[in-house]
Amino acid sequence: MPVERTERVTSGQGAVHNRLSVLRAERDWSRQRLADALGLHHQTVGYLERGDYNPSLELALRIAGLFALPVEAIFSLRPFKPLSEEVYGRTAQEERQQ
Amino acid sequence: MTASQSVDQPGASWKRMETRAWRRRLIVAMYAGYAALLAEVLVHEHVGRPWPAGLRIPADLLFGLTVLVITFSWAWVLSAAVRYGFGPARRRDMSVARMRELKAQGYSAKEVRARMVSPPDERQQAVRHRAQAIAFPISAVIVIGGATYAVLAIEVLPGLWLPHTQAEIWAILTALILMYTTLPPAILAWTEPDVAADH
Repeated sequence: MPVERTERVTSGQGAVHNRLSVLRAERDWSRQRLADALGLHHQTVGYLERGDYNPSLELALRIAGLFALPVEAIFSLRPFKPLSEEVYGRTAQEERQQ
Repeated sequence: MTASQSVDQPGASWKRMETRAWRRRLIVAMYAGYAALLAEVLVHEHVGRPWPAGLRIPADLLFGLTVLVITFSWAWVLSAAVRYGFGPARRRDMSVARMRELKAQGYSAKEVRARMVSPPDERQQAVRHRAQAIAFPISAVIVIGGATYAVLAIEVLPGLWLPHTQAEIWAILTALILMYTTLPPAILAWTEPDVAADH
């Protein structure tokens, strides 16, 4: 049963962080297009991106399948690091220092 | 049209109607309208029947206006209810532009209609269940309270007021219909946050 929250949860137990907005932006997709691909209402995509709604396991797996990524690359119980930091292993501060 | 521009996005006027402030105003208008209608009926029944000549036109105008407010807000709340899967129908929120685009892509009218109609998704089902869970104890208290009052008025305290006239009985029936058809969607419309803009 998905957990419904009325406020954005940014930390603490129960928060599920995701990279949906980044993945969508990379593909230049609108929320409607992503919603159509997943059989959702476009508002639901907004709730998912903001972390206001945690998807069911089935939906999370469908999202992972759509982006051809493992679930843990899209959803995490801990906040994601910026992609540049993960890819190059450098923090934003280190970037500025160079 | 680029991929990031969606033709399914509602227009500015619809977005204004989708704001929580607007929804709450409509819900208040609906229940306040019913309360006003009830007051008018009771005053008419017990005080002003027939209306004095000077009050008849203002009273009729007020009655008509109240009925209009209730009808509009009731229809809006019911349409919101249908979109969230409360009724037998399913949501239909595809724009005319989107339908034209699909037709231009070669979809038949039947296929376009099939895409227009889709069941509520899992988040919509979750908020619908939450609204029903809140509405159930509220309506149970109202119905059990009303039934208890009626039994008390008939069996224990015969002096208590009971509906006798046709207008009073219809007012009670209308209140029950209003409560059962609007309470869950009204809770949903009251609590759902504003729609976030696509970006």
